Amino acid sequence: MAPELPRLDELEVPLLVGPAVLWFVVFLIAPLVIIGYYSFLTYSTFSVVHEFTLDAWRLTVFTPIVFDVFVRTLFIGVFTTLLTLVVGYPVAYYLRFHVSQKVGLIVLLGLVIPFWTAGVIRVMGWYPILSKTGAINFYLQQFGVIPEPLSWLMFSPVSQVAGYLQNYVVFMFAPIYVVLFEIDEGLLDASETLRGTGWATFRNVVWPLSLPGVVIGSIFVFVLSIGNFIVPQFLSGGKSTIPLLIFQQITTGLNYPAAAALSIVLLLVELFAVYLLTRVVDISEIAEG
Amino acid sequence: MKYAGVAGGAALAGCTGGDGGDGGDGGGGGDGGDGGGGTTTQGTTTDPMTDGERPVKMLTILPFAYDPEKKKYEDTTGVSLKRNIVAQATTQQKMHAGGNEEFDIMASGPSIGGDIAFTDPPLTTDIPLDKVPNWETDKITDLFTNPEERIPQIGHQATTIKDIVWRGKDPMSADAMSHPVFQFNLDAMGSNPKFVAPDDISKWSAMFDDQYKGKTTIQTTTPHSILETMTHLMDKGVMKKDASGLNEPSKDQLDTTIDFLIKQKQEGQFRSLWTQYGEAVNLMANEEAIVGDVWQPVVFTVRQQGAPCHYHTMSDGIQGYRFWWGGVNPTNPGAKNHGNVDEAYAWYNMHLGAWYPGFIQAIAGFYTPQFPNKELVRTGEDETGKGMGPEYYDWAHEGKATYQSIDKPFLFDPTKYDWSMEEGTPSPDGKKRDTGGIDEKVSRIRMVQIWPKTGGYMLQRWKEFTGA
Repeated sequence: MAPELPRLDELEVPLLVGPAVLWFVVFLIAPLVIIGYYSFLTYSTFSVVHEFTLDAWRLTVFTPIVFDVFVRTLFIGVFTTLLTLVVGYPVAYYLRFHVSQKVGLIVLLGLVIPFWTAGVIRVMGWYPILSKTGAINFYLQQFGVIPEPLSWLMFSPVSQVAGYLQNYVVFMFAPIYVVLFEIDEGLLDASETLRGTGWATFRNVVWPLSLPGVVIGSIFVFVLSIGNFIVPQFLSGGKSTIPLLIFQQITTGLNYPAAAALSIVLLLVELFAVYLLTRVVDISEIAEG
Repeated sequence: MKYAGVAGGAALAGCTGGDGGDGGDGGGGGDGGDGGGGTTTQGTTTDPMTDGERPVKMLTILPFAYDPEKKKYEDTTGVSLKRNIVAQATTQQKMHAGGNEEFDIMASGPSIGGDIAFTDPPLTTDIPLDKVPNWETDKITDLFTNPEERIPQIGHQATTIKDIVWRGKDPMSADAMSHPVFQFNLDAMGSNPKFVAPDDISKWSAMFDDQYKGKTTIQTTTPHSILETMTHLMDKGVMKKDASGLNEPSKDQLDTTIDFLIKQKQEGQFRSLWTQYGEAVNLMANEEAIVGDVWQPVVFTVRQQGAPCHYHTMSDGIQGYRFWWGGVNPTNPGAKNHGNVDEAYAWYNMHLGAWYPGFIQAIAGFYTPQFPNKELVRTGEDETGKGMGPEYYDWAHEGKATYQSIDKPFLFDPTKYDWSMEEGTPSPDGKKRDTGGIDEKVSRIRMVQIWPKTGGYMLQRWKEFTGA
């Protein structure tokens, strides 16, 4: 007797889940395993020897300098997240409650359009603005405000903040705007009917309901900003971050074990941050609408 | 036999004329000549340059890859060329990561060439001298044919030139070059004359000088900045002076040097670090940095952007010039696999002709190894174009002033100056080449940049500097 073929409804789950599982295995799990494997290999100038060692971890990760760079990188991630929240939230709030949806989408588009250019161009664009011979210093000197150029505009925290803010505010703004749009206006009316002030309505109604957007935006901004190496490369004046160290490990010495070890630690930090954020707010609410 | 330069290559390639060449757009000192118009003495029916894959692929860095140079090669050989232009360290990284199979030609400085040509198996192949018709040993500067006698002040470092360029063989009897030289320079310090007088700087120590704190820049090409810093520390008495073994630093010397650099960086001595050529230009042109170990072409590019820049004459003490050269090789096995070994030879041959010295001197300030051949380089011409002419040649090599007066010497751009092709008299108000004549400069060479035996340790410690 011929074996009975599975019915189509029995194949439904494997067929639906299979591609996603395959995707994750091929493009996530397998690369991570390879990166993990490489982090335990021996580095010899410009080559990797397939002999097990902890050198990459011992000589690269667990060193005071790299610890300092990790702290700097995390600080940048947290600071950028807070900064984009402070800037992006009011803009999203204003566009949601004070202008039409059409205008809001046009503004959103305006924030997205700069991303049609290369990231390096967006960052290098700060040079003619912030440098000693740039526009700000030029006009401040022309109007007699300053006797000589301000050196702290460029290759400083100021230039880095400008670079990170420009690159990531849209990633905070967009999810918040979307979540705010889902808020039932009847709830706002109810708050008003109960003689709630504008501040009380915001604090007790709008803010709690917008938290999923804030968390998703924070995850985007935090993960992207601590992974960015263009801003620190061109705007920091030589202050390294972990992605920059990874880049340099590869470009200056083909030191894949060290780069792999640093990458794993960076990934663990990101996963921990995402875990913490999702413990605070249930972001599945945003999917439920 | 010296055949008719790369025009011979053009004929060999089946090129029946080309566009005649234009002498480049930045070479000065000549109008280009007659290009590769088939005026060959060796046109044959056997044509090794028609079999290879096209375009010929070259891995290089920006100062070795100007567009007129590419055009000249294509015009004179009839071979299309595609270049991958990356940072210096990236050339090394790419070659170790499969670039030796992907590319056909590889141009590099000695610190990279001294690594990739000597790995096992080597990532490049040597160039036999009999494959380079323009090569004439007795008309090549003795910086490369007899380095130990030409620059005795650097002791064993001179031997490293022979080791890298000639695989340690006697240059006068060798039949192949392991790192064939097509240009060289003596690197120095650059500065902005709005803030720094020409006589104020003659040592690498200026990068670490308190008066320029927060206004200096240093390159991240490790073997370069390590050498420069070591000479500063030797002059300060932190390290024992040793010009002979300078380019082979011990681990202790590397520790001392990198610890010092980390401290300097943490204290804010550097405005920024520079890796790519364009970064150095931006830093100097925008006045972000006013002192730095920038390359000479950076000076010219900064001037072309309207900002003054000066290249300093270096001390005759331990902190003298940093000597380097550009070498070119066929890749191994890429060039052979793609059938482009002869194309690589032709690239080298073209650069030993009459046109290239004037071109590269104007646009980058670099010398070429054939410069002692005055009949060719000063007053001659060949299929690649005309030589530099008397005024330009004397200005570039002998430290003489221009025939015309120059109002703004710190904005002087050799590519814009109208060089006389006739003998003349230097003007009292003329502009002398920054850093002067080559003989005086050669006596002040103190370091030869190579890839040291402690390179692995150097990189391991270097990440602490970049991370600091």
